[in-house]
Amino acid sequence: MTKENKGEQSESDGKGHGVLYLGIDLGTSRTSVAGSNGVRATVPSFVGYPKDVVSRKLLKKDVLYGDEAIEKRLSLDFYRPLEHGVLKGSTDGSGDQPNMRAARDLLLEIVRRSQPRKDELVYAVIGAPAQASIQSKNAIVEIAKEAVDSVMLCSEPFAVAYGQDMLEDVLVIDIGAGTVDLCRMHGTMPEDADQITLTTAGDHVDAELMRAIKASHPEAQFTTQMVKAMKERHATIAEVVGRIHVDLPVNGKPTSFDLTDEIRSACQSIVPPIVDGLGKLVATFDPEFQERLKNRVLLAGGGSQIKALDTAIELEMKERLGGGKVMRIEEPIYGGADGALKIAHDMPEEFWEKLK
Amino acid sequence: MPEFPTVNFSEAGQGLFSNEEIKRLMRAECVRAKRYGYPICVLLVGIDRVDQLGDLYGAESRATIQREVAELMRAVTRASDMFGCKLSGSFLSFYPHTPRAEGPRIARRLLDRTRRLVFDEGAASVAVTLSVGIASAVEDPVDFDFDVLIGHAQSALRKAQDSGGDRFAVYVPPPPVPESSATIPGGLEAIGKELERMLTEKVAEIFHSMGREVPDFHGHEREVLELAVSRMNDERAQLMEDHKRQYDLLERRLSKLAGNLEMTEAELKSTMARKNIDPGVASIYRTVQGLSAAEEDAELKKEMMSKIFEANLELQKRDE
Repeated sequence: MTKENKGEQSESDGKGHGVLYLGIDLGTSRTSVAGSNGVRATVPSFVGYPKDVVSRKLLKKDVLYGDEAIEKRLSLDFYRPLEHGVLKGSTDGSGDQPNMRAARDLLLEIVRRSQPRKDELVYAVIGAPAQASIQSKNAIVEIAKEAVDSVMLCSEPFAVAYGQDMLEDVLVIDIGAGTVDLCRMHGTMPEDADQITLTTAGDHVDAELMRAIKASHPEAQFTTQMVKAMKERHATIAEVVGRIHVDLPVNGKPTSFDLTDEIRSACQSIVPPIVDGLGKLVATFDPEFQERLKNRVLLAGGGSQIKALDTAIELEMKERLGGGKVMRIEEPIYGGADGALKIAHDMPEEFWEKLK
Repeated sequence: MPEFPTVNFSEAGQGLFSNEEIKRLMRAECVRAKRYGYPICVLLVGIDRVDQLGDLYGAESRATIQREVAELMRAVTRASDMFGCKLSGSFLSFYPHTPRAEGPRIARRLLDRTRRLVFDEGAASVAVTLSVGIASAVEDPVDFDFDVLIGHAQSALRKAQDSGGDRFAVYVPPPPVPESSATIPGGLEAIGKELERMLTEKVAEIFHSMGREVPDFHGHEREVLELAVSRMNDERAQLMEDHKRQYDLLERRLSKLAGNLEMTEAELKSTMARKNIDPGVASIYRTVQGLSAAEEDAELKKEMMSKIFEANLELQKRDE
């Protein structure tokens, strides 16, 4: 046995009784956590602060998160601190303080929801977009250090693959709200050449859907949040489905619209870029293993919940790459967090100590 | 009865008989009265606050007052019927053949006359009052002893003086000391019955004297007892009612307090949740961590862990 006994370590800071490992998927749309204490939680990545004293008194809270923040957003300074999988303002060096604060509060909240004990150290692995910039990663590490005792970042699609124990000859598609991460696993740590990050993700679907609705039903009134909710409920690419009718207000009157085509079209819009990326990763892989790689495509992330997306990708792959087999993971929401938790657990103790 | 004056109230003992001689005559009269069975009455008269009057108005005034009182004593009774002498500053008058009831009458007369006396002492008029102790020897042979009789009179005089003066007091022999219960057959129970009998007789006597029928004591006793029991029951019921009311009140208060306590506990829990002081959930990996050598792809995973670590180390060093 090479398992290390940690019972006698970590006496500093009054925390010497154990370690809570966390896997965190800090996503553009949703942040999820899986803890070594068995706790799993997810919260939409929205943070709100009461606009003024009146709203503070009404809401009785200083910070609101997730669905509650969305619901009360008219009374709040409302933030969605991540965009395209990275912290807003972290890439251009502008240091967007309100969004950084919101991201920090969001991370504190997700750690709190993992219910750590007071006497435990908290070590976390956070999934970051495959091709996130150094600045973006640094920004995440900075805010994470305020919430946990030790932190590491890893590529999100790699975390998904690691969590599924599929480390060899696998193509991972992690569809988030901000990015679609493609990762080629071939028995080693994926390098930059093994990973592609696309921005045609969930938000792209929302934008496409809004554009389509506006074009076909200019009288309909809606917001981004309404479109997002609509997508999460009805998203599909399947050819044979019942018609999708959605009520949208027209001059204040709820009116039913048939949005089947718009929704299907918007969802379909992410397939070609994904297959393009897969094609690149396959094409640059050892020809001897390309076929095997194409037949081991792992579909994960919140965006993978689009109905018939796996079939649509397979069809597109067949058409453009000559075939392929797509597998959907069982829990798309927690795929990244579970994988990150597994990495955190498998990481030797001394590594964590060095990064404290 | 002697035909010659046997009274000498002077301080210096002036008169036909000296004080001692008169006392001797009194003793002889006591023996005679005991032998022939006639009653004797004795009055011992003291002038109230005589020493203070002397201090205020002088010894001469005191002597004048004493002289006037002595004359008054001679005046209220025929001198031939009595013996009189000074005894420790008081005037002792001794009346043979005088029944018990006569003593108070003489004393009242004496007191009334004395109240009318007024002594002019310069600008002030001084009023004098007397205290009189009365003792009699009627039946009890012991009472005919001169010293005993004088002692009784002195006791009565003290009583009159202690009561404020200007009054008389009759010596009343103390009630006979009851024998101890241990010596009475039947003990306390017998005494109780005896007292009850005496009380019943006394009450019956009173009712007879009033010319009314003697009431049915036992019937009344039952009524009284029933009334008392009824009263006690009422009081007990009232007490129970009060207790029940108090109990209900306390119950309501307890219930309210319990409600408040629950609310407080809920608020505390809510506060704990808000302040993130939830004790949390223990990690299932509290003591064991790291890759197992038996795990599939263990070496590969170790290498991957090392690379992730190095990348993060580099990232965080760069940041520093």
